[in-house]
This record gives sequence, C-alpha cells and structure tokens, in this order.
Amino acid sequence: MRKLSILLIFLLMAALAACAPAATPTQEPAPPAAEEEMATEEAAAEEEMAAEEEAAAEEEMAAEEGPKYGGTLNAAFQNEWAGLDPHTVSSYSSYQILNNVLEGLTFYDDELNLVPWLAESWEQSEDGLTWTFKLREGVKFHNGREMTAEDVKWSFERLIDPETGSGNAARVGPPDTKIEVIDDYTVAITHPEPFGIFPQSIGFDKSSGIMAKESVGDDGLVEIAIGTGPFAITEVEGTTRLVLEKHEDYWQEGLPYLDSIEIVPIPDDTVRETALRGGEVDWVLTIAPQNFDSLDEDPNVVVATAPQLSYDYIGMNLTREPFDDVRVRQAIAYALDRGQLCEAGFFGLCDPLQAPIGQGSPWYFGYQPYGQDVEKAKELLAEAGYPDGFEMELLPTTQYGETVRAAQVLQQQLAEIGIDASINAPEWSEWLELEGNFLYDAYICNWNGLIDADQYYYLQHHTDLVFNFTGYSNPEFDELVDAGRSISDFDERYEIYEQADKILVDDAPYIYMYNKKEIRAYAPYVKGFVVRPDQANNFWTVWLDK
Amino acid sequence: MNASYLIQRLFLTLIVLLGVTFVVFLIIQIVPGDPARVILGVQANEQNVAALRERLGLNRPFLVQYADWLWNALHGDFGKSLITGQPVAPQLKQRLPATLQLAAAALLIGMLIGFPAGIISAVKPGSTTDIVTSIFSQIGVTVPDFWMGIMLVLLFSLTLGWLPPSGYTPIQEDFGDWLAHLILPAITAGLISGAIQTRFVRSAMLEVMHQNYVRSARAKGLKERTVVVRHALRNAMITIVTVIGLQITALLSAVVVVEVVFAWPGLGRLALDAVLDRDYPLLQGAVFTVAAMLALVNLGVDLLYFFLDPRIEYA
Repeated sequence: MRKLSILLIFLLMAALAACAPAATPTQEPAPPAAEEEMATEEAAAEEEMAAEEEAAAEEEMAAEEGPKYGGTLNAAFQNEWAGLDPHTVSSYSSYQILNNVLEGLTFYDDELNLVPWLAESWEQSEDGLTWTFKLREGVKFHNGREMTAEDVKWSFERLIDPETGSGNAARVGPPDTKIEVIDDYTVAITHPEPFGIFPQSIGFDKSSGIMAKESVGDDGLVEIAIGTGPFAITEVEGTTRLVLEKHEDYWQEGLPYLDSIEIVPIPDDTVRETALRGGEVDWVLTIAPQNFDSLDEDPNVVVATAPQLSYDYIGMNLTREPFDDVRVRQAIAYALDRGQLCEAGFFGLCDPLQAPIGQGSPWYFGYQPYGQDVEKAKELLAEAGYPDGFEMELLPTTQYGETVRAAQVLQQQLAEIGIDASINAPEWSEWLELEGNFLYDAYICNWNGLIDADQYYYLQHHTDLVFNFTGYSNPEFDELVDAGRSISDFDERYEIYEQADKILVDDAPYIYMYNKKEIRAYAPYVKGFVVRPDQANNFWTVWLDK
Repeated sequence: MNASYLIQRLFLTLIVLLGVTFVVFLIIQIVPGDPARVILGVQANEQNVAALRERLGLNRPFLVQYADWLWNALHGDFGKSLITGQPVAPQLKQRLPATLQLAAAALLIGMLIGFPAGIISAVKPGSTTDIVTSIFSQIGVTVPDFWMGIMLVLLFSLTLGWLPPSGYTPIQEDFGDWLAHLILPAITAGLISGAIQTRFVRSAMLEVMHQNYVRSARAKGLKERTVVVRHALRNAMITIVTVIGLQITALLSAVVVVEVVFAWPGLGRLALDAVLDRDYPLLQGAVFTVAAMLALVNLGVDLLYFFLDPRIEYA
C-alpha cells in the first residue's frame, strides 16, 4: 500500500513538473488605470496646466544656461541586439547602437535635409557614373587612428562583397562598383549605371558607415565595431548590457555632452515603463501604444512623438491564385476601413494610408483611390470570378504585436465582402521562412525608416529585386523607378515617382493600412533628444539637466 | 554504496547529456526557421541567405554539424553564437550565476513556505489552518507566473516604490543592490514553488503520520513536537527530498518566464532567445549546461537517500 502511494506521489510530481509553466510570455496589457484617472481628471487637468507652465518656464531658464556636460544616460531598449557588425545586422537595437558609434559620409539632419558629415563635399562626373567625395581631415577613430580614404574604400568594399552577404549592399551599389582612393582625403566611387541618389543612399543608416578594419577579428567576424562616432563601445556583457563611452577625440567640437550611455534590454513593456517611472532608467526606446495616455499624464515622464516615415501593409502573394488577379487585390483594398485598423492595431496613434508615402514627407503625392467602398469591393470580386468570396490565410507575426491586432480586425472587414480569412501568427524566424519562400497568401508587416522616394519603391517592387517578396513585376514601373534613382534633381524625380506611385497603388501588390507615430518616453531631465521620423536615435545632442 | 555505483551513475549521466543535446539539436534543425534569415531580417533574400548559410556552415549534413559541435564541446569549445558572433562559453559562464541565484532563492523561499505550512496542515488535518493553506496553495499552483511577476512589479515597484522593477547587480558589486533586485523575481518563482511544496510536504507527512511507529511513539508518551520532528518528518524526508529534486528541475525551466519579465540576465532567457533566433551553438551550450546541472542534482538526491534511509542498499 505504501509502495503504491509513493508511486502515485511520484507520478503526480512528474505530472506537475511536466506542467511547470515554461510558456513564452506574451505581452501583458497594463491594468486599466483609466477609470481612476477619469474621475480625478478635471482637478488634475487644472493642476497640470499650472505645472506645465512652471515646467516650461524652468526649461526656458535651463535652455538659456546651456547644456551641461557629464553623466550617464541609462537607456532601456526593448529587444536584445543581434550582433554589432554593421554589414550583417538587421535588428533595430543593433542599428541604434551603431547609429552613435559609426558615421557616414553624408547625414540626414533632424529636418531630414541631406548634409555633409564625414565628407565635406561631393560632385558627380559628367557621365553621371562617378561620385567623388572630399573627406574631412583630422577625424579620429575610437582607436586613435585617423580616418582616410583607405578606410572608406575598405568599409564600402566589405559591404558590397557578396561573401559578406549583407542585405544593405545596395546602399553603396552592386558588387562591381569600383571604389578608388585618389588621395588620403579623396575617394571616387564609380557605378556601372548612373546612381543619381548615391549621396542620399549612403546617408540612410550606418550600414554604410565607415568602420576601422581593426574591428574584424581573425575569424572574419566583427565583435565590436570601431568607428568615428561620438560614442565608443567599451563594455559588452553578452546581450544584456552594453556601455557606450564618450569619444574624447570626436571631430565635432563640444560634443557629445554625456560621459556614457548604459543600454539594457527590457523585453516586457510594463516592466520597462515601470523602470522609467521609478527612475531606474532615464530613457526608453518604445512604449506599448496602449499605455500612451497613462504615461503622457505622468509628470515624471516626457512622452514625445513624431510622424513616422514608414507604413504598415498587407503584402499579397502574386504567385498564388486568386491574388494574381489585380481585381481581387483591389477588392481587398476597397474593403478596408483603415481608421478602424489603426485603432485596433496601434490604438489610434497612426494615420491611415492608401499609398506608401504619408503627408509628412516632401514626396507625398496624394493619390488616394481606395476610400472604403464595400459594394465596389464585392463587384470587383464578382468580376474576377469570386462572387461568393473565398478562403485565405493572413500571416501577421508576434514579433510585431500591432500586426496581430490589425489582422483580427482585418479578418472581420474581409468577412464583409465574403472572404473567409484565418490568421496564422508565427514568431519571427518562422514568419521569415514563410515570407521569404512565397509560402503565404497575404502577410502583414511594416517598413520603417524610409526617407527618400527610392526607398519606398525600388527594392520592394522592382522585378526580381532583393526585397520583392510579392512577386510583383511591371516593366513600366521598373523603367520609372530605374530612372528615378539615376538622376538627382528633386522636381524631375518627383514627376517620375508620382507616375510610379499611381501604377503601384493601382496594381496593389501591397495594400497600405496606416503610418504609426514614432513614440519615445524619457525623464524630464533628459534634454536635447529629438524624436525623428526615420526612427533614428541620436544621443550626441542629449544632456542631463541634473 | 561504492565506487562502482558512482562510476555507473556518472557514465549514465554522460549518456543522458549526449541524448539531450542530440535531441535538442535535431528538433531545432527540423522546425521551420533559419538563423541566417533571422540575422538578415526582412532584408533576407535568396543570395544573402545562401551566402550567410555557407559562412556559418549551416549547409553541412546534420550529423556532421552535431559531431563537429560535440567534438569541440568535449574540448571545452562551445563555438560562437550564430547571431552575435560572440563565443558561447563565456556567455554561458556570465549568465549562469544569475539563474542559479534566482533558482536557489526561489527554492529557499519555497521551502520556507512549504515546510511550515505543509507540516502544520498535516499535523492538524481538517483544521482552519489546513483549509486556508489548502486554498492558498491551490491559488499558488494555478496562477501564471508572468502575471504574478508583473503584478508584484506594479505593486512593489510602481505603487510603493520599495523595489526596483527589473535588472541585476552582481553580488560582488553591491550586496544590498543585488538583494533588492533579486527579491521580486525570487518571490514570483518562490511563491509558486512554495505552493507546490506545501502540498507535497503535507501529503508526505500525512502518509507518515498514519504509520504504526508514529502511534507507538505517541503511546510511548513522547511530546507531540518530538513525534512530529524526530520521527514523522525524518521518515517523510525521502519523499520530500525527491520533491525538492523535481522542484529544482521545474524551477530551472520556470525561471525562463521570470527572467524575461524581470529582464534578469540569466541562462533561461538566453536559451529562450537562442530558440527564437535559431542560434544552434548558443542553444546547445545552454541546454548542455542546464542538463549537466540537473544530472548532478539528481545524482545528489539519489546519494542523499543513503543518509536518509539506512534501509536502502545498492547492489
């Protein structure tokens, strides 16, 4: 009897141990504090106005005194960085670290104007094939060595080398691009075809930044990138803590203000926001959009926004029926209530989009043919041979929670026109497999950090190019976007891209949903941080008022 | 108990470790998802993925890759992370203490809750204490740990401001800070462990309390306290030690969730990220480390039996 009970106990324990929770935690929405807050809102609002005025006055005084030097900024990112080699990384966290460590020849300032940076000037040859850059003298790498044209050549060549396998090689050009050192401070880049927007292209992000060749270890891998930027990577504790320290010989006089930046990833939204509110960290990379209001009202937190230059979209698989029929795609485009998608996906902190480029951009075209029209959608479906709709699968990813939320509302909107949509929301690596191999009906994702028109049209939609995951191919479109990137004049290009935009929106390989706002939150004593529409986080203008 | 038994056990442990690492490697290669694609992200296209896979040696046959890993592991080289390019072994070494500290603290808290609650409930079955303890342990077993963790953060960090919400300070840097950061995650995992331990201590004790020798002890006129501690508890220890051994196993996997919630830089979170990134070398290293520790724990539990029960013999 005793043996039996012990056996039973063992079985029970085994069963319980097997059931021990090891599930991947999903993001928990913050508990509703809104009810409480609404009750005291009025009294609080008055207090807030008075407090705001005081704070504004204080800020003015502080601004007059000027920025203070010193201190450490404690920053919390969301995800761990996946590598620090600019030529092979794709994770946002990695980019943002490298953003402050490496620099490019050109740079987009806070107003998104292209300005000289490591290059002082540049000019295009008569035949349009060669760009010659004059470099700034006296720029020092973190290891003390001066940057010269040789370094530019080395960095660019490693980026475009097919063996490196970089997704950003096209920023500099195709593998047969020639990079020539004219003298220590002059470098010439010759392309097989005219690359009219080359100076813009190398200013988008730091994958085309100038890195010292000493960054590469014996195994060909880069553990720590050595650049010329305002901060140097000095401590790396796996992927749980990274320290950036001020580059004493930074070429811009008087910058940066901070002594160091300590970066830790905190994946859970609630915990990250608590860390900010409690003072454990001074600055966080993202906040859960559903917590925007409660953080905005917290006097210990500053929430700043900017319209993003990005878009959330539905990518259609043009190699699969019925999505190869443009009428089906257009039907879906007409069926959408983009305002509702925005509410569900990103809690209203977004602008509906019918085309890739939103109103904040100088490239805005204003072609908006897809106002919601359920009747028209049904008509188109019937024309295409699907009067009773059909079944399909939506593929958002848990990597971007907003795509999953949007998918749920999308499912209902599609049901209105007779399309029975199911949702499959895998995690990132599995999603990438499916998306990359055309194993989907329609996927939901976003493109971010886009500045120049070329970035919205070329690599994603030109026939057979690297980011064309829909199978879209339109020779007229190809001609237009090829021309667009070979010339430099803005007005000329605007005309070209306006035509391309119309073709693309009409053909609808991508169905656009909305443009999310860029949101940052930080402590009130963090000054000088600018929320940028291209999502870059530049810390060299930041100082601590304490 | 002799040397040959010990050697036998160690040999078996090696077989288990081999089996575990092989199965894990097999599973993660079979499931969809490709580390090269993860590295390249949305920018992955056929050429780049192919080039990167070549560079990372991912196109070699499965057995070749496993044998390669095993050979290096036996020489102490766990290779490099596919995603970050950093060597695996130092990462494991760096993240292991945090997990051990968390698991140990959680186990301790679990025992501090489980033993008194379980014993008292068993000694006074059906009493109010017993019923209340039962209810609390039921709740503790059912509550999801990540919810509990976030609730604790909201209460003790945000509302009361007593403890930091996340992060880690190494113990050698600042003991007070280390303790402050450890408390919430340890309580989160510990409360649940405590609930489980309460139930098993209670039933183990109940089981033993009904034995004849306990009645004899009472009949002998011994104080209830002596009966409970010297006789009942001692004999229940085998079951209890087994539970604790299994709890350690459960905790080492349960802490993954707690580590993610609290941004605790432990091995659990590292292993989870390795799975999500399909980072084979890193995952293999983490699994190997945890499996090795658990094998040692199980060995320890088995050896403890000798001291707890003189009746046990090993041929």
